[in-house]
Amino acid sequence: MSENRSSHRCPGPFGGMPGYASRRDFLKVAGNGFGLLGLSSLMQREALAAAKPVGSVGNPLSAKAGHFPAKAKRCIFLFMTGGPSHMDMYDPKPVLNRLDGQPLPRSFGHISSQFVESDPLCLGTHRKFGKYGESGMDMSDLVPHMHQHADTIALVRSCVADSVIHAPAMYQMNTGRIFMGYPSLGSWVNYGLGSESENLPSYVVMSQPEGTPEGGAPCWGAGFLPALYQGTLLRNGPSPIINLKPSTQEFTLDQQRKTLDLLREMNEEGLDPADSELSARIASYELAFRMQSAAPEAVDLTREPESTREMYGLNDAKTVEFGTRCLLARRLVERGVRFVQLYSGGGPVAMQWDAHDDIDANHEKMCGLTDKPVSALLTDLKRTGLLEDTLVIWGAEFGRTPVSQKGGRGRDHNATGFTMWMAGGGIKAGATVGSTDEIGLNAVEDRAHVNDIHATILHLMGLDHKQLTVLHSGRDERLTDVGGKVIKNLLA
Amino acid sequence: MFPALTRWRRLAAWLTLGFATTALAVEPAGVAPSERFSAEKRAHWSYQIPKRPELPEVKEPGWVKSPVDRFILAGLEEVDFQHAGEADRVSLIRRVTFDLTGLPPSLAEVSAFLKDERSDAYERVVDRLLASSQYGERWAQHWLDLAHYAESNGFELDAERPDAWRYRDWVAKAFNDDMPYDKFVTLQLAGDEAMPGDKPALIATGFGRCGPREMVGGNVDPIDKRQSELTEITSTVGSVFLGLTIGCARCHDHKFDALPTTDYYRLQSFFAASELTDVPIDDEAATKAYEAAVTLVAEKTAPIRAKQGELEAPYRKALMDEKTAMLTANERSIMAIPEKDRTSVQKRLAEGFATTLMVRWEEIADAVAKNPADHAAREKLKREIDAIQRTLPRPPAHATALVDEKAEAPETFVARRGNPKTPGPKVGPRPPGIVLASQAADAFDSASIAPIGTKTGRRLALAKWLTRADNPLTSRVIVNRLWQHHFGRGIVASPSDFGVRGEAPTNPELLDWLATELVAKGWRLKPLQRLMVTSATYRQASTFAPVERGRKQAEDDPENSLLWRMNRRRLEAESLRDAMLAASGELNPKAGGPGVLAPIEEEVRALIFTEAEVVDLWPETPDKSEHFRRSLYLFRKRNVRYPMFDAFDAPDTQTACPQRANSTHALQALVLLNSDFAAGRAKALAGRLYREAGTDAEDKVLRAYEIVLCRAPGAKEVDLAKAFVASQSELLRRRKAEGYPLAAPTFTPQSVDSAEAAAWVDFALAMLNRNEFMYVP
Repeated sequence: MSENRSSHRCPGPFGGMPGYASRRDFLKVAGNGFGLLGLSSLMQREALAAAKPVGSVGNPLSAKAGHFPAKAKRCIFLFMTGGPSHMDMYDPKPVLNRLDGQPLPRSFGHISSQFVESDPLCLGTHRKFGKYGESGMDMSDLVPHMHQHADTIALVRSCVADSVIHAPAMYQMNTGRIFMGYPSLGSWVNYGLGSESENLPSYVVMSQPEGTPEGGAPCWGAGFLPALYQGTLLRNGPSPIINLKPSTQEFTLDQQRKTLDLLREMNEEGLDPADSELSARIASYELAFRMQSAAPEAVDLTREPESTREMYGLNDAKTVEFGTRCLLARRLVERGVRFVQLYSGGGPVAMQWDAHDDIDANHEKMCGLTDKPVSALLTDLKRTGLLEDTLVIWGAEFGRTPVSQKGGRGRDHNATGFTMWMAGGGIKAGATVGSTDEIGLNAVEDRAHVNDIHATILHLMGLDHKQLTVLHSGRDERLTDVGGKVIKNLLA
Repeated sequence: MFPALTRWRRLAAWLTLGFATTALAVEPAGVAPSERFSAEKRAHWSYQIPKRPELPEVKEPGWVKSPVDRFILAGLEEVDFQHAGEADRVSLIRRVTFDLTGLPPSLAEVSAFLKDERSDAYERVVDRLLASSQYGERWAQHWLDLAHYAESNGFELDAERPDAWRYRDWVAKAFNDDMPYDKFVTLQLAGDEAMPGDKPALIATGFGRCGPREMVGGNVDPIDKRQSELTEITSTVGSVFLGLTIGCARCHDHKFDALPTTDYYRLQSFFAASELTDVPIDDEAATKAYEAAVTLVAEKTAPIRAKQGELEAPYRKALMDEKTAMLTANERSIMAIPEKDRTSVQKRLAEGFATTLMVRWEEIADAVAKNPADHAAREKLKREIDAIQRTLPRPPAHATALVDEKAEAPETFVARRGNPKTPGPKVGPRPPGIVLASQAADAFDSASIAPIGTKTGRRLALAKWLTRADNPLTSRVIVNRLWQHHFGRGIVASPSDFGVRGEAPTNPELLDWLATELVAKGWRLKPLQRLMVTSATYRQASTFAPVERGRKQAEDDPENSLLWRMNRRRLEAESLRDAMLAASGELNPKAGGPGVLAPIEEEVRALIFTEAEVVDLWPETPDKSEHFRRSLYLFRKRNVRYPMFDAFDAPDTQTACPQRANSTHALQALVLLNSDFAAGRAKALAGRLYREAGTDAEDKVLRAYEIVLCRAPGAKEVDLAKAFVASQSELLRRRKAEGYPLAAPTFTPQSVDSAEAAAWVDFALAMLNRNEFMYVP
């Protein structure tokens, strides 16, 4: 496997570019008069490159060390498409309940959301909250299975994004920008760390079977990083990756093996062993062939014990779908997949967390689909010891407003204060970081902007968000754009 | 810094409160002073007006075939480098044909070239290719990468742009007609101002409409929305025509280049009056005919819709009752109050409950699905409605245009930190000061901008400045792009960044010679490309003999920036697909027209986002022969991408792509081994072998090599192929006995054993996966 730009190579995170030193010497004597001009920019880049982790040059996806020792080697991001309501799940607001049905007090200012009117009415919660675990973490009756994990997870109650529209906000939560076309978090992580799996894609995305999240494929795109860093869609079943297997029985594995042997023999005829690009292409066919058996094995749940299946809710029509994906997530990280992203929700509004019409009806449904599986995933990761160096993230593109949408039972989008949680490698279990105002509208304490959340995730994975860069259109682009500071209170 | 700072603050406050932009007129704004640049900043190479260099003297003049060779050879001789020998003829014709047309040469073209002993045989091939209509199709794609052309808006709704293809066809035609580049630039920026009333010129302004555009319902802030439209066009113009990363200066002065934020907004100001408009270009009769067709379809579908309504009625009622039953006592009591007696808060609450009680289509669909008979009936009705709706002709033609709506432009203010709600000083339309600094004093005069009819004339003024002979960037940037696509690497290796952080030109004299040659010869691209592809430099082999010498030179110049050999290149995604279709004999050469929806992988189809109930989100073009048209003509939905294009680094059309990545990974192998597309081409290629070479194994191997690789196989290769077919036939015979289906070529003579025929399909698939097929030497 190789990443190859015929020119204008980007320094990337992996080590000094081959031949640069000799090229510099060469350019010193090169006559064009511009040799020296070129030199200064090259030296700058080399300095940059030197600050970056070193890995195998031949295979950009081979595992490499980060900028500093990682607390988390892999990451599972549970993305609740549409935006769950923090005020009904993890951030109780008694004052809001007292204001229920009344116009929003002017002291809270103007709410900018997608649909909400200019003089909205407050909407209290109907949920019962309790304090759980030794940490006494607040959780509502919407997430009963999570109560047992109050001392496993850490809440960030002061999350902030820059858009109240789904697609741009999803792009931001995935790429750091409200625009399409930037590399996603998983791409950056793979660009920085490579893969620990020889036979599986290192960045896997599993979407809701009913449909894609609003932002679509750019949510897991590689942007201007080479295509090999993009997320690979994976679904349950015998052919979990697009084109993993021929769509008809006209071509079978043993038959294809022979075809590949022929191909390799033809490709190797006259091949210069020093020709790394063609060698990489030959190797990519072998990896593809191995993937055909490795991927179905990874998604084959038949060997999972009954107790595990039960725990994830595989025996219940309500939870079987998301439970299956959560269990797949564990199996994938177990097999060295670096970054797994699960979308709960997608397609029709009724299959999203986008509770515009009725917050209780929607969240009872969505929590019903996910609470047990998510809890099981944490329990299972703990049981297998994987949680020690696996980072689990739960969150969405934004949260919901403390006011109703047009007087109804639903809530609109709120990007100025919402809750996410994290668990596992490097996370201070049981912590509650940041807070929102009295009604849950705005983050007021330890504001955690998306850029900060990303900086923290990269930090936990051993990457310095300021050093993980790629030169694009004249800028050293990074996931965190021009912002980002690590949320220290969240770290163990 | 600015004396009227408090005024700006006040203005900003006004704007955030939602006052219209007319508020700006009330408060006269200070004008930003022009910046001055230090001599050091002004000295950067790309801002200097290109001077035509003398052709260098070389020690080996006999090698020179084109003026560009002198520059390359002089560079090589200076460091005592040896150029590579000339490539063999097969490599040459494959290289130049892919390069100029994006397609492989046909068998006849190869054999004619191999037999042609005239001294100018190669030049004749070049002239034939430059005159072919496939040339424009190939080079249009390069341009569309920059324009980041797609046929949908992107973002969540990703709605179709039904007329976007007209711009794509305009670009292809402009290349084929060898439209001078100054005109090419002018029409895309200001076709409506340069040639009022001219339809193609209006379509050309679609350049500014290619990028993504957010279209959503709800409270969208008009100021933010307008700024994002202007950001898109300003950054694109800066990088595509000027090779400046001026987009970096939107929020703050450029960190490295002498591009202050004021200059970003000065450039944006050329577009201040421009609107994203779909201008009708059909006559009234066409519009009337379409409206009649719409009415007719509505009439035909009405009774079916009524039936669907009847079928759904009981389900709708049940859902409604269920929801009503869930209302709390308090909610009920509010609903019970007669509407006129409700307080304002109660009115609002009642409206809100009505929303909550609304029954959505997905709820009905779910409920109906529980009754199989009703579900089937409903699905049938939906399909009937859909089938009738498909009979609608395409809507009347529009130009997807970017044109001024009025002769007077609204004022432009610097947006502090990129936020249009915190406006800074006022600016007017003006090109970047650092470039003006090296030009004659009269290079740009904003006072000369005069309205043209209902247009401001601003964009035409920008185009005129861009296409001045003394513009140091426009000509350099485009000749460098041509060079990059011909040689695999630009003379400036950062093709859209000619700033101080970009790569320095490896051969600045050559760059300037080409830039001045372009202008001197009337901005025509084809003659310049001819100079490039007929050069001895271009004709070099991409491998180097003797190998040892090559290794040493590669050590000193690993990127081959001096071009001591030719660069080998992997086929781009579109060329790879087109080449497979050409090899299988299925390529449909039809040019132009609306984008074709070819079959797409089920997993990708399932991912198309919709909130509405749509019968088919990817309605394939009914005529299957259309599915085999060139990749340029496939429908490009921004958020729905063919896995093959995705895997092979086709740009994502979200931002301008000056240079594609070239990655190698296993998903590429999966697409080329397992996709229906790959299997289909292998079957067709095997069929073609039977049709053209009959039943003899050796004849078929020979034919396969000629078709796929344009050359004859070696003896070893023939043996390898024959041995493979023999053993694979054995394996497949056993599988057939086990009852498995076998892959069948699209044509086989009657006598042929089906297992052997299937083995030839596997052989064909292997050939289409070969490195030698995927790379142009």
